[in-house]
Parts: sequence; C-alpha cells; structure tokens
Amino acid sequence: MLPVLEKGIIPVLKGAYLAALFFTETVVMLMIIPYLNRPSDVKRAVVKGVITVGFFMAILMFIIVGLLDGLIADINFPTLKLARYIKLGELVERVEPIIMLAWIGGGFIKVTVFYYCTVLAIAQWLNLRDFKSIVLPIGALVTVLSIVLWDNVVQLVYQISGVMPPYFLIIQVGIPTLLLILTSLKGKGEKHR
Amino acid sequence: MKKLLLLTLALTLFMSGCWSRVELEERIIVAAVGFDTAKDPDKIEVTAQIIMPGQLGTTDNGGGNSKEAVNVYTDTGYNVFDALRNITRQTGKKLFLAEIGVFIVGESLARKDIGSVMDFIRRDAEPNIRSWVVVVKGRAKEALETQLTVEKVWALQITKMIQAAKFNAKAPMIDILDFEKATRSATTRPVVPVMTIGQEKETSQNSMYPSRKLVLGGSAIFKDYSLVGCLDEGESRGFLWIDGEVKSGIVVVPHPGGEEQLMALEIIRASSEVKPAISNDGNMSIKIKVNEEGNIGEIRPDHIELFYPENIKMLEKAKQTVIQNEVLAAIEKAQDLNADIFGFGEAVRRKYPKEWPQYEKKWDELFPLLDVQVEVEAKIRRTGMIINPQPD
Repeated sequence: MLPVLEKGIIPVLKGAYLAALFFTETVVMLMIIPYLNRPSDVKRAVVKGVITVGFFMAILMFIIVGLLDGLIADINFPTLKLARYIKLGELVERVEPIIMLAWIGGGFIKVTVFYYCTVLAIAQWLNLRDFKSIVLPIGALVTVLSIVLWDNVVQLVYQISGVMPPYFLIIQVGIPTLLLILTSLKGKGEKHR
Repeated sequence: MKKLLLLTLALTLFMSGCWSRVELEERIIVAAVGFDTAKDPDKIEVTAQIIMPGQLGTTDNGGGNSKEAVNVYTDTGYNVFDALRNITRQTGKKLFLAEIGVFIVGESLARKDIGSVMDFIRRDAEPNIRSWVVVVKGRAKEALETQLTVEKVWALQITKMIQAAKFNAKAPMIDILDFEKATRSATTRPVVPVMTIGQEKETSQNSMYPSRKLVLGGSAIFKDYSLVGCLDEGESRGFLWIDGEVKSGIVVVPHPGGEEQLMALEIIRASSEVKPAISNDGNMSIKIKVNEEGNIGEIRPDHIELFYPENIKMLEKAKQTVIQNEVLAAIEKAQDLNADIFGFGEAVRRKYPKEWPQYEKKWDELFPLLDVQVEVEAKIRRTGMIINPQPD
C-alpha cells in the first residue's frame, strides 16, 4: 500500500472522478420519489444507501489493492479474482459463487430500476396516461441496443471510462442541478413542500 | 395469484442460466499442467496430468491389474491454448483447468520465454491464480509422467512438495499472482522453486509410467519471463531469510571447537527487516536484520556442556554465522545475476518515494554494487526433551 500518494494527489483525484460519477447515478431515485408513500424519508434513505455502499466499496478496494497491487489495472473483474483467491485451509474454498450471486442479483436490481425509470420518463414525456403500453417496446429496444451498441469489451470499457464521463457529468449532475436552481427561482419547490 | 404463478413459471423457462453447463462426467479434471519446448522451435509442448475419478476410490492392494488414478496426455501446438485444445484430439473431452494445483515449466522453455504461458493462465477464466509455479531441471513431461507413491494423484504430491518448503526452507513458494506481481514490478524479480528428476527406478510391470525420484529444492530466478540463473538450497534459504519467509527448517551448524562434527538446530520462527538508507551524498545502502529463534535438535553431547548458559551463547553465535553466510551467499549470487529478487528496489521506493524515480532508471547499474549490511540475531530457546546433566 505504501507509499501513500507517491505521484501526488492528481492521479487519485482522476480515479475518484470516475468512481464518484457512478455514485451520481443515484439521481435516478428522483424519478421514483413522487411514487413513494413517504417521500420525506427519501433524503435520509438515499444518503444512508450511498454511505453504506461507499463504505463497503472502500473496504473492498482496500483489500483488492492490497492483494493485486500493480496488477489491478489489467484485471477485468478484480473482485472475482479476489474471491477465487480466498482459501481458508482446506475448508473454505471457491466462494466465488456467492460473489457472483450478489453481483448478478445487484445487476438485476439495477437494470430493473433503470428500466423502470426509463419507461416512466418516456411515458411522462409523451404524456401517456399509462406507462404499461411502452414497457415491452422499450424492453425490445434495450435488448437490441445492448447487442448493437458495443462490438467488444474493450469498446465498452473505453466508452464508459474514456468517452462518457463528461456526458455523465452533464446528465447526472448538470441537468438536475440546473432544474433545481430553476425551480427554486420560480418558488415552486416551496409550494410543493 | 394465478398470474404471479404463471409469471414465475415463465421466468424459470427463460432465466435458467445454464447454457454453458458441462456435466461432471463430461469434464476431464486436470491436476497439473507442464510446459516444454517442442522439437519444432515454433511450437510448445503441453502435458496434462488428468484425474481418473473412477480409480480414486479403489485400493491398490489387489495386485494384478491395478490402474493409476491419473493419466498423462501430451500434445504440441503453436501456443498453450492451441496445444491444450489439441489434447482433446486424444481425450475426446475438453480439459477442465480450474483444479490445477501446480504449473510445471521445463527448463528449456523457462530459459526461452514463458510470457505467453503466463498470459494464458491469467487470461483464461478457469485456471486459479493461486496455483503454484515450479521449474523442472529437465522436461516437465518427464516430471508429470513420474509415478509417485504418497499421493494417488501425483500432481497433489508435487503440490505438497512445494508446500513442504515451510518445513525445510530450502525452496521458495510462489503462485501465479506473486510471479506476475514480481515480474511487473520495475525492479523485483520472481524466484521459483526448482524440482530435479532423479534416475529411473525399477518400474512395476503393470504400469506404463516409470517410477523416479523427484526432489524439490533450490530456486530459479526469472527476468522478463525467462530464467536467468539458479540458487542452490543454501542460497535459496538465504533468500528466504531476507524475505522473512522461513517458517521452519534445520540449520546445520559446526560444533564450536569440534569443527568436524555438525549439529542440527531447528528453526522455530524467523522474521526480517529490510531498511534502505540514502546518505546525504546520495549513496544507497541496505540494512538487513534477520531475527531467528530455534531449539537444539541434535548434537554430540560429549562435545559441549549444555548446562552452562554461556555455552548456549556460543551455539547461538555459531548459528548466527551460518545464517549470515547463507544470507550473504544469496545476496552475492543475486548481485552477480543482477536480479533484485529481494525487492530492495521496492523497499527503497516505499521509503523514499520522492527520490526513487532517479534511482529507478539506473537500478540495473546500482543493484550489483549495492552496499548491503546483514545483521543476524539467532536465539536458542529450548534444548528439546533432554538437557545435559551437570558435569561432575
């Protein structure tokens, strides 16, 4: 782990910028707020969620960096490598199915939330009375896009980490902030509360 | 409710994610893989020792037609993956690599280059990066075809031979991950245990595999994925002292006074500290401190009176000299080969991150001339189950 900050704070910030962008995805929660029973609790729940996830992510990263050291940059699934490395005597081995289970389960939930929000947003945008009618078409579109958008893994990773960050920043941070400012200027925010 | 049930049923139809499953009996479980150069210089020879599950449960005492629990297949290809797939031409089934315990590299290939071998092992999803690596003096195929007696799965015995380093401290232990980590470091070089193949013994008639003696001891140094030199067993232990990896073992020490008689001192625990220092004029030196504790294992009691504490001190001093010589021999060999196997470069980097960049580039010139001071503190704690009586 040592030396800490060998090349100064800049590389750390560069890495943190990308990692922080993933947390800005919590912005999708805004779509769900109007449909909750107790919208007032949302703030606490989201903050709690982000802190918990961040905490566990930090622990995980600490362990991964400790184990894989200089190799971390060229491993596609460090967590999986970590899980496969776990070996407690002859007793606890091959725990990677547990990781995979959590992973795929988490991925499933994430896709579900994003899918729901997409459908909801499009329904509101097109002034539809009910979003149910576009669930299947959007689903088909998502399926097709998932195949068509990227030819290979390298392209996908490059796009997410090399091309998209400024767009993520605009969409996930810029636009919501702008809307917040505009609504508060209009005084609408207060009325709704 | 009915709708929910229907939905769940439909989901089970579409979401059963077993499209790539392989039935157990369709798998061929590989216990160890060996890599050699082939006759064709462009090709590589891969040998796989596979487990025959049907033979695992049977006892060998029946005599007559007892069969081995493993089988060995060899094929060549332009690279590892190619050769492994070529083996399916003989086996008819795909090889399953996740249970491989040890990767064996033949000396000739090790001297050439194992870069793409390591890449395959890390790139393929099945092999575990925790598997051991070992270099064979001779051919890996020969080692894998050797019939061993302790374990039914011979590869398992080779794995245990590697792990026995924690009892004898005569060879290092290194897995794929550590090998790759050391290789990627700007300065550190990986050290791999070496296995030697002995003469062929008389073979039992009902086996197609010869019985030989395999011995694990000593180590090989790699530089950019190719073998550059070897350490003998003493130098290997010297390396392990510095690395702090000596777990147990026997130090053979001449009797103070009676040099021709040797005594055995058992290592109980050992640790080490590597402290780099850069003086004001930019000269670098490394201080190594080895702490060792042990018991008396075997001596000629008429040579020394163990009753007196000052005699124990004498033994400690004699042990100290032996350990110091081992450490110095390892350093000398490493400096001769210009291979920083001890991670001195990394130690400097950790302590002097600011100054390090200017040293990193000329490390190859610095390391062979590096000033290394070794300090050993050896202790004797117990005398075993007996103690010499007070002399009359």
